[in-house]
Amino acid sequence: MEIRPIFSTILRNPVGLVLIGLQVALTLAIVVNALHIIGTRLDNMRASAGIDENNVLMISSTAFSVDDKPLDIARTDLDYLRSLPGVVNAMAVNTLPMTGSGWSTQVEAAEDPDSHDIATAIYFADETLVETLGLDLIAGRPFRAGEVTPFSMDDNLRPPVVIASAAAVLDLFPDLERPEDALGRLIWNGDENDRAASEIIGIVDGIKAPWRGFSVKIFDHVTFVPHIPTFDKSARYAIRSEAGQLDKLAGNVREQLAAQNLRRVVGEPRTFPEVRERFLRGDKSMAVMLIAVVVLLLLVNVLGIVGLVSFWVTQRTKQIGTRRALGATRGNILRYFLIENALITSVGVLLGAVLAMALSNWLASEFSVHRLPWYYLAYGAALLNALGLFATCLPALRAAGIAPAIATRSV
Amino acid sequence: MLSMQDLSKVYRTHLVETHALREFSIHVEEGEFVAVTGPSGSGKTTFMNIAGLLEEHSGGRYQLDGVEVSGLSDRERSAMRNEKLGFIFQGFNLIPDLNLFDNVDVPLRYRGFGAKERKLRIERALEQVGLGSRARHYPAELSGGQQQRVAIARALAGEPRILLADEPTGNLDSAMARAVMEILEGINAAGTTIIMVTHDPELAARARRNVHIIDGQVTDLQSSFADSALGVSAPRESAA
Ligand SMILES: Nc1ncnc2c1ncn2[C@@H]1O[C@H](COP(=O)(O)OP(=O)(O)OP(=O)(O)O)[C@@H](O)[C@H]1O
Ligand SMILES: [Mg+2]
Repeated sequence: MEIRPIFSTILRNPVGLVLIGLQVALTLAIVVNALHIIGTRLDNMRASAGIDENNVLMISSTAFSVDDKPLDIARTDLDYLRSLPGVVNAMAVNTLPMTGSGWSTQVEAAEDPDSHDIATAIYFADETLVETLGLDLIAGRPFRAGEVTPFSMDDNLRPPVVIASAAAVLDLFPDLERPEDALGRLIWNGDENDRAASEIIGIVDGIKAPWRGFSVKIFDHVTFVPHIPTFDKSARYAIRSEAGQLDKLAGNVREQLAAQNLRRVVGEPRTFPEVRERFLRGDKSMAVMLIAVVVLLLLVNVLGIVGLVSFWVTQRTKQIGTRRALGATRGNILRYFLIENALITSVGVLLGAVLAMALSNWLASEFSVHRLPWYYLAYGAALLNALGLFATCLPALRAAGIAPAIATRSV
Repeated sequence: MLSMQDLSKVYRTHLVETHALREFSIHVEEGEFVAVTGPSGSGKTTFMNIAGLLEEHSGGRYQLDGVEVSGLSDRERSAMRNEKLGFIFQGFNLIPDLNLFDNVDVPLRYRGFGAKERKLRIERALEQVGLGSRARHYPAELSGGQQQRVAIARALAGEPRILLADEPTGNLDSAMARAVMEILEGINAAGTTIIMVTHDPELAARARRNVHIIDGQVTDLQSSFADSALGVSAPRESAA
């Protein structure tokens, strides 16, 4: 109702507009992006790893000596593990989803080393991979036994065939409409003088990489290569139990495996639910930290507004008394400050929306996180407006209580 | 128009009680121009504040324009100030961040007039005090006398029944004071009741009725004085 004179008053003393406007703008920009990251993290916590999580464990074995022929040990161990009751299948692996460590490499869509590329995690696997991990193979075929070869630390990674995640092929070949259409395509790696191509023979859906970092996309980029890892003395096995047998298997498998070959140390088995729990601990603490930052920023924002409006109320005491003398009700005075704050906050929110998008674009390009969805801005703007009004209420109620006699009594 | 009977006003702090007004009675008829004089601390501002519904009285009866004021709610008192009363303050009390137009607009907005009506009234009121061409200026760009004329325009724009002025010329030199006084006399001649506190005997003498307050009580120098001898109140005033 009295927006125009309030606005011109604000413009005549733009310090408050600048202070509160900037504060609101920065708060909005940071808070909505933080909330977006929190939201993404919470989605991650719900995300499946793309394997039969409840029935897979990983166990490692380290031989005493390099001379002990790691490939032979692996083959013997796998034969033994596959023969155990309650075991569906087992294979030698380098890592599993969400373990936090593993290999990644750059792959290109064409022979030219400068062509479009993505980073992808590398999983070693043999012909049992679909069964051992419980993968969702949506197109193509698993590796054949004849395709699987040993791989030592000295070898270059140049597998003739690979199985890739749906997300990886879609990002590597943007022209694809469906991930299935990537079957038969080649992916390239290696340096300029030593290019190697691998044919995509299978597509797996939903499989996750060992890590995520800040990037969301990396988490979905996975490539399986047909190799048995033979890294010096150590080996790792993924074992899938029959449904519901995982704990029982985890309780016995270490001793059983150790008894097969005394010239090595067998590690504590890690069930996948444990792996996942440990992995998401980071997400939880990140979410908690960001929530703390958000709460702190909002609190600072509220206190800033309370402080400045209190100052204004004190500064305008005589003016408020005069307005009361001229016929303003307490409600009129309260409304004056609320409108004033709403105007300033709105300017801040507009500026903040621009800043928030800029920040989001930067995060998107720098860390390949997803863009900020518009509704985060809408909720953020509503939240800051509501908080602004709440913060204004406290000093504004004091203003509404100023006696009209102040008009004649003060100098 | 305005009638106070045995009014009292007590200020209580935790240490002392001040009886600012005691058995205070006054009756002002429609169209009167009353000059209120008295020594400092005698209760003039207290009287004006109660008359103007800026403060509540402690005891006695007060009727304003036929309405018994005691039982009114804060909202009703605000509406009465807005519609029936006009205020002129010693310190002008203009809002520094609003131009003259918007300053005069303040009470009209509380009144709820439409934009057209407000514009008409603002322009007319500023015209009336000779500042029609300065509507877009800010108070700081005006002299004290001009600022007080804006305050008068603000008080007039709502066409009040009573104009209350507490030392309106207290911050002005004598030339500016006379100019303000002339405007007030014009307003009074047009029918508006005026009650004015002043320390200036010359101005008090120009009013048709003088009321002297001493120690929170009225010493009325009857209305008849005003008609017969204008100068009578002057010696009294010099005592203050
Ligand atoms: N809010 C208050 N609390 C306590 N005492 C007050 C208050 N306001 C006024 N008084 C006291 O009431 C008495 C009358 O004060 P008032 O302001 O009405 O005098 P005045 O005639 O207007 O004086 P002046 O000519 O100096 O303006 C004084 O003793 C003053 O100290
Ligand atoms: Mg006084």
